[in-house]
Amino acid sequence: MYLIFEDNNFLFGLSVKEIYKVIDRQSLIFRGDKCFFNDLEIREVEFSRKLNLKGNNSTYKSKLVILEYEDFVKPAILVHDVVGFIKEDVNILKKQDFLNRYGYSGIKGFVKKNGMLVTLIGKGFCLSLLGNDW
Amino acid sequence: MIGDMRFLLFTMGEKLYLCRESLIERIVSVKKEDLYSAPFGPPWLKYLMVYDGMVIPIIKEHEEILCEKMYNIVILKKVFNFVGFFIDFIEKFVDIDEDVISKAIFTPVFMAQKAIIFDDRECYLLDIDALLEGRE
Repeated sequence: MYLIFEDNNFLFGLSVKEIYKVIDRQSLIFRGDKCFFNDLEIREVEFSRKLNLKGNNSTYKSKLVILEYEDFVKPAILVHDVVGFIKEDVNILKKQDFLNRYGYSGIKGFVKKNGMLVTLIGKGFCLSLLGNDW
Repeated sequence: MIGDMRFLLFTMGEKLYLCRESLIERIVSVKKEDLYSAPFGPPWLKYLMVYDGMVIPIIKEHEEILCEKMYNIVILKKVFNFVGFFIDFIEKFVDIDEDVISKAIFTPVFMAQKAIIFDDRECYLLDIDALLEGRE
């Protein structure tokens, strides 16, 4: 099963196996320059900004997708909203190799959903957005 | 004379381009609904399109808003990879002497590296690597 989230009017899918929890960002507790959720330290990155996502970046980012990670410190991506799920056995469109030249090397593939294209990403792709911290 | 090579002569924006026929996989007309905005990547990577069960990059250099009903896209093939780009008008296929092509001069134009004079008009030779890199 893939969780579908939306940011800048683009849809992305991330396997639920790679997700620890999805929370409202308001649920975070800030202590100093660190933030926590249920005593777990969360290291977040704004998905659209780090990815230089095209489109309208003015929408409020409300949802934090916390990634599965075996550590007290958990990585998370901040996105506009979560919109639903798609089954894992859906017909996945392959990514063509030329796209790797444009930063799509971590993309697993694409799925068509309601006339839109969902870009399937993995935890590794999200961790690369967090940079040297991971 | 070494021999003739066949090219597609087309316009893109204000410019005339020549694309070697052997590079062309297909020329397609698509509706806007068949194109998906590229979520990220360089500015000239405007769209993604589903072709042959794959998602391929579609490149558009000029900035005007899409307002036509159908768009002409040339899909190029390099080994097993495809890339598409928008064109405005197809003029025709032409045969050009290889000797003329070998004397092409360097020119800093998007998606091309060299130019020739053909039919008293300056034509840019489309270069697939320059197109992929957005090189000028």
